[in-house]
Amino acid sequence: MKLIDFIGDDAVIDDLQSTDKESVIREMVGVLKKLDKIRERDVDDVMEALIRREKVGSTGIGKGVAVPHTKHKCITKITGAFARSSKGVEFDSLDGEPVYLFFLLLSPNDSTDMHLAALERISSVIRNSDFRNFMRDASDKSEMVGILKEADEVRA
Amino acid sequence: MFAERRIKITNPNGLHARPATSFVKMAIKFSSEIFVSTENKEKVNGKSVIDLLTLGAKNGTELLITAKGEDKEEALGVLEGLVRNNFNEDTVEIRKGIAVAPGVVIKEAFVLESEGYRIPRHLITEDEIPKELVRLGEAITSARKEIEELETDTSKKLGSQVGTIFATHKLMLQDENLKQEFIENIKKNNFSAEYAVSLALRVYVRKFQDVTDPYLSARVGDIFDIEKRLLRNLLGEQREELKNLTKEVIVIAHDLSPSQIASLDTTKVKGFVTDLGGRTSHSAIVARALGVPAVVGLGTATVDVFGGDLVILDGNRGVVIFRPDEKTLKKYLTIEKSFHVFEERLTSELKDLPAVTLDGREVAILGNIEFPREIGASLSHGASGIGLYRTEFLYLGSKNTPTEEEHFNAYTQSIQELGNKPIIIRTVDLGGDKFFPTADNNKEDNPFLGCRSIRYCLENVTIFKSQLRAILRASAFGNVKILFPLISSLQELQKAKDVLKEVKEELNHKGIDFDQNIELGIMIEVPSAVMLADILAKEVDFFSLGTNDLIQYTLAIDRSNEKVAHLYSPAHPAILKLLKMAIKAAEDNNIRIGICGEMGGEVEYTILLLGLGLREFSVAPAMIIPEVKKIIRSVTFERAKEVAETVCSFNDPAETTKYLRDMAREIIPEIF
Repeated sequence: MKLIDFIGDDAVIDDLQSTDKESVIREMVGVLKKLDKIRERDVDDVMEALIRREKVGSTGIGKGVAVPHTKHKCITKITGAFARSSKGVEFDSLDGEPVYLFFLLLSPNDSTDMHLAALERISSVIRNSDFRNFMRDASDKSEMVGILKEADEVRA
Repeated sequence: MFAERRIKITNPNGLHARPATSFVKMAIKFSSEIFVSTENKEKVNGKSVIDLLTLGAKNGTELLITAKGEDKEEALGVLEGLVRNNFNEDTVEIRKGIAVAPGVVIKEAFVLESEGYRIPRHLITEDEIPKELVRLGEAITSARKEIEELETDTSKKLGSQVGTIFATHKLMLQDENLKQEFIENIKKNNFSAEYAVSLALRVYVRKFQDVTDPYLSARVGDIFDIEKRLLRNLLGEQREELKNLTKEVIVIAHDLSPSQIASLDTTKVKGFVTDLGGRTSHSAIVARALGVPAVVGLGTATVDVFGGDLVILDGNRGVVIFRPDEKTLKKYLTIEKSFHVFEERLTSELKDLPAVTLDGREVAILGNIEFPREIGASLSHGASGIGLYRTEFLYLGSKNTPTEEEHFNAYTQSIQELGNKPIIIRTVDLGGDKFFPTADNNKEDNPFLGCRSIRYCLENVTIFKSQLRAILRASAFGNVKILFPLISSLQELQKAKDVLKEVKEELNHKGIDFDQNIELGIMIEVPSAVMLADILAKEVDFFSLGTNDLIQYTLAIDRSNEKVAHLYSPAHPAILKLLKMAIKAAEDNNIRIGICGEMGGEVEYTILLLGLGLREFSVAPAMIIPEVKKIIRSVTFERAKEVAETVCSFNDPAETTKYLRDMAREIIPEIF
């Protein structure tokens, strides 16, 4: 599984405007809505599910990365978005550090294995400190997409 | 020095983000280095969520957890507990089993185990810590008191030497270090007192097991004793025990034995879920008798559900949902409601319509019952009578052999409900897996091939005769027929008929009224009976196909044995051949033939059975009746014959089942 397969070239935000957890997630969901990856009428439901998931435990998994995610019945194919915040967002991360890089992941209800595989892929990429550093230093969206694709090449 | 543990992941969603986070949160409380690896992935840092997620470990993957450092044993103990406890995830699980008793109920689970204690809760909140510490203190105090009493008591009876065997227990309970470990577990890890005690003691068990000194390793038993004693004190009234259920529950069991059933508090049991079993297993039958829903054959229910979990049990569709979240609960209730609407619509639409094919072939649909009180449900679902009354259930819950009057009362009660509609009373089919009347029965190595059913009756003629007398006397009041089970040879049938004749003569002699022309039938459920069907047909008025036993004896499969249960199939080509043979023999001899085995109530087989030539379906549970009728009313006999011919040419039971299921699904999509 490749990152670019479920994130796509378009669902990338190079400069998040939001400064808190909920609005970051809303901003990312907004991009997916704009790209018609989720329907307008499902937005509230999906947002609610994502926020509820954060309440169970933060998806800020350390090293300046968060992976907000949920499964939802309105999602038919695993889909995602990637975003960067230059200032960093307080996310109740496990290591207490602010989050700079965000992977949003939406999976269909019955996609246990795909969901795990996507998480596996994301975590292997962000485990690499070069990836995190290059991503934070990238000058714009197209450079970020380039890094994602490059990361996919390394170990697809 | 590394210490290691291997633990299989058992939560359905695998090691995804939340479990990985729980794992790390637990791991970072220890100073030891902790690593995790799987068969396919090299070891990663057990204190990093990112690292753990790179394992991509699915449900069923074995984790190898290694630790190095001072507190490695404690760390591994805690982490093992976490993995085994499904990472403390409250996961909704939806499981499909065999629906054996209708109805829907939502209650807490009561897991029936043969031994041991179940810890109801593993983690507590920060606020609950003081309360848990108090509970712990109290439990230790009362456990100590118990031991002191035991010591005094034993010393008095057997001398002080013997009494000192409790000294070790007492010393352990007085040990401040051990107590401190319990307290640490509660304070540091937010464990419940039960979990804290159990976990700390298990670490010692491992330590003692590892040493070679026989004195020390013998102490393992002492530790287990202490653990049990403390847990018993902690759990107090909450302790799960069958006889003193304090609230209504759904019983979850591997299988239920008659003795377990006997000890159930039936006013509190609102449903059954079992790992094993079929429509005729004890739990199914008891559930129907109690009028509570049941789903059996779930495989691993007892492992997947914990005592106290909320369970949705849908005995109509064979669905069981463990730990539903609010959304599932709500969603489910809606689905459930609409399903009920469908069922009710089907019932009210078809109840008074005849079971007749599109081209006019008439079929009778009857009900199978174990107790007279089930007759009402069969009739209200449109049954035209009772095709099988399993009278051995008069033995359920009674220690003595039922008297002739008890039989008679049950039959007349049935007749009252039925009016003129027919009832086929099967003489007691005891033995095999069904409760035996007397305690002095010698245990048989092979009960299904032993002295069961008609063989038992012929060995115990007094019992047999008293039942036959009751049936005959009842026949004066309604439309009663007699059915002999498990006939396997002509001589056996003749012997049974001789007994019947004797009883009739006796009654005539005494001037007691009965139906002189009462019909007699036999179950066709042993392969030899099929082979001899043309001969047996000349001796009786009708045949009834008992597919459960016929399949078991033909395919040599014990369906309650999970190792071979998957091989059991009514669609096996050998079974279809036998059914054909039996039906042909009945047709050639102009006698009626029906089916009363489970196969008759599985709607995917309705068209096939119709096409093979059957005109009598006796089914359970009652709610199946409208579905069978719907199928019969939706096809022509000609088409059904073609279907039967087609599947009889298949060699693979799976192919047959799929073919038939697809066809039935087209007619009633809602039921699959």
